[in-house]
Amino acid sequence: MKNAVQIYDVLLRFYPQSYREAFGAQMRQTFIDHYRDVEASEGQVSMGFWLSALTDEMQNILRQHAAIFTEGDGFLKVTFWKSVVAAAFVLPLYVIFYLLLVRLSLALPHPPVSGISAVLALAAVLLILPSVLSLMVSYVLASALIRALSERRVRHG
Amino acid sequence: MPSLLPLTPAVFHILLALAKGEKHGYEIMKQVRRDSQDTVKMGNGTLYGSIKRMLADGLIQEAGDRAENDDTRRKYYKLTRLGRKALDAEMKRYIDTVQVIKGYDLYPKLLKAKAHL
Repeated sequence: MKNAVQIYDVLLRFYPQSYREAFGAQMRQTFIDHYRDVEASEGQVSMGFWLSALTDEMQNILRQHAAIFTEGDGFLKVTFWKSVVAAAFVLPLYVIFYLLLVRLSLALPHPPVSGISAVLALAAVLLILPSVLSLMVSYVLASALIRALSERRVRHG
Repeated sequence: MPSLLPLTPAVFHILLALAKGEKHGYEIMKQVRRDSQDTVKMGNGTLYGSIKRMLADGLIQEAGDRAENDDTRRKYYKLTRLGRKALDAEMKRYIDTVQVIKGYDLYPKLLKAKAHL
């Protein structure tokens, strides 16, 4: 029982902090009640119990992380104006990250690579990394800017 | 309220479980199993993910913490007026759908035989 609860506690750590604060203790207690019931009625807890518990928790963990972008008045909630502002930041940020990564890759010692690994490394440096970084940073910047503007508007009536 | 309908199966079953009185998480889970004749086995994640959404939508509310026989405190939930309305509307939708199925003579023979018992 103690080990089972420890495993469940590890699973709970994967939830967003706000969700964990609101529901973590209740979820833990419900898990204990359920586990105790299964153990009492079936003698032992099967792999099936763990498999369905893990699958269900993993799905909800992903859902709760995605909810940060879609629900409530969260900092990163996707809105039309945030997307517009973020779109304006993307290109300049892409150029900055691209130049930084090229510079960094030139400064690092080059292991002898050829063929597919060279192409993949090049793609990562020139396309994937700067794109992902610029999208993420532009969205956070847009969220911060819009929040600052709305707070300012509230302060000044 | 129309935007809340149709309810997801998880939300419908939680509302149905709470229609019989205030319950804590594990009691809801067990009631859902009983009401669905063991066909809906709601996991912890699905249960609390749905509870979070239902609290935000105003379908349910907290009914305080209470200690059980084992001295552990558990949070109880209850239906709100909006939750009751949503449940009634969803049940009506189900009943209307069954009427349509009956009208099309698509009602499964097995259920027909059961209904005559």
